[in-house]
Amino acid sequence: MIIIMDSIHQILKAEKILKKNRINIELIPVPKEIHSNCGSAIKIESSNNKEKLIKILKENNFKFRLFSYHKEVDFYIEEDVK
Amino acid sequence: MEKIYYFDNAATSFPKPEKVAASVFNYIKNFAANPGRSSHKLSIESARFVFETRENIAELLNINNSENIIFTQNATESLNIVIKGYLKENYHILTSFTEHNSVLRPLNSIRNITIDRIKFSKNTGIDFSDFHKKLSEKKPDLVIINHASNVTGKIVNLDRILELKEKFKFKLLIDAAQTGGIFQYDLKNQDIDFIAFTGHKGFYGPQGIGFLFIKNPEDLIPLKQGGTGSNSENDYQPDFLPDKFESGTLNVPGIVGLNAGIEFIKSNGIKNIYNHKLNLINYFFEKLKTISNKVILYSKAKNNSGVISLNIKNLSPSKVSFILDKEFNIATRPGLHCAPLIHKALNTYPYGTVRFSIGYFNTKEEIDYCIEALKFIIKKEK
Repeated sequence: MIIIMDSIHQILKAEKILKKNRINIELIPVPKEIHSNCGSAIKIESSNNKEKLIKILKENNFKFRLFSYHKEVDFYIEEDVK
Repeated sequence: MEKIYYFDNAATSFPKPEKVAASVFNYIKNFAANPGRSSHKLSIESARFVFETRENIAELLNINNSENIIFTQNATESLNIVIKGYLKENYHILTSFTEHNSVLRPLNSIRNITIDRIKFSKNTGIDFSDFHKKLSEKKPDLVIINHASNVTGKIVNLDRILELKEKFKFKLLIDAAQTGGIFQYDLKNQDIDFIAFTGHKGFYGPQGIGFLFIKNPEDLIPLKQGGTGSNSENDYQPDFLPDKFESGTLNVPGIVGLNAGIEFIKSNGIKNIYNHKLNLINYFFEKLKTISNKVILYSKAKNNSGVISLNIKNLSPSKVSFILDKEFNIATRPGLHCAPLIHKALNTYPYGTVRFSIGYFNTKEEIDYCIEALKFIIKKEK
């Protein structure tokens, strides 16, 4: 899963909070298939934590977009997080 | 170099804690990539320094969201961002006689606004009954108050300002250039819309870094537009924080140094730092009593941010300051201190006063030395 946000500040803030909640993440450049932004994105290996992740981000008032990688089409598809 | 007795901390604090210089050196040597512009390791590390500093400031000032803190060059830029980003034609501004030119000049550059000033008070900085009266007569669009005068050191009672704000509902800009690092702000509970800080005075950071707290970003049009590293496909300025107000590469070495200064304050405790300063202030005032018949004092010990403004009778402040520097290696600042209106109120315009301003690293022995130097000047120039 890939999460993108408006600014590097938000990304680093989310990183701090997610790590505190023991969710393993990595910062990567925003994949060009998702967005032309030159900034960083949060990559989460496992999708097991998806519900918990969305809950934490929402509780902390983050504005974010979440994408899942679909192997069969080799493409990222945006998830509805509303 | 021979010892300098540094009493110009209201202009900029000196010396700085060791870690301030060391952290700036470490950053420039090992990490100085552009924060938030690329996503390689060094760029992210650099952004982390900025992020951590913002979080540290937010913790120190009890601010909910660190993105409401905007990095600026200094208090002057912080004040300009608010004054020029908020004021519109026909707005009415209520301010005080203790303001610095960093408020007076931006206000005077704006056309078609009206400015009224709260009466000066020697005891409280601003005359609160006049403040109340002016608020009842006409609702201001913005109130601007200097929390502590850089000329007298008088700290204005913030609680009383906030009581009036609750009653009269006005927007408030506080100039905290002299109080940052010694006054315990609690911005979660103190209803301040904008508060302007500098990093190089009470926060012991390097020069060229300051910050601004903005409660509601929609109140202000940004002073600058430009690259933010975010939303690059959009040729309009982003409206989210902190990017809305932070265009162009930040002064990260300054931010890193500021963070070391903030750490210094946190580890010592803001109250302990102020109490330490207060001891020195009281000691200075006590010692001045021995030469009170030759000295005119413009500061009082009570609620003082660390400033002692004085004149020696029949001697010009520039001459006294020059002798202190030349003969005694004592650094003070003479003149008007970029605050002409308060000097008019004190009747010290246009020559001003000699200002001794105390920092954390001054000692009682240094104060004794200042008193001896003043005695010498009084005797010699008789």
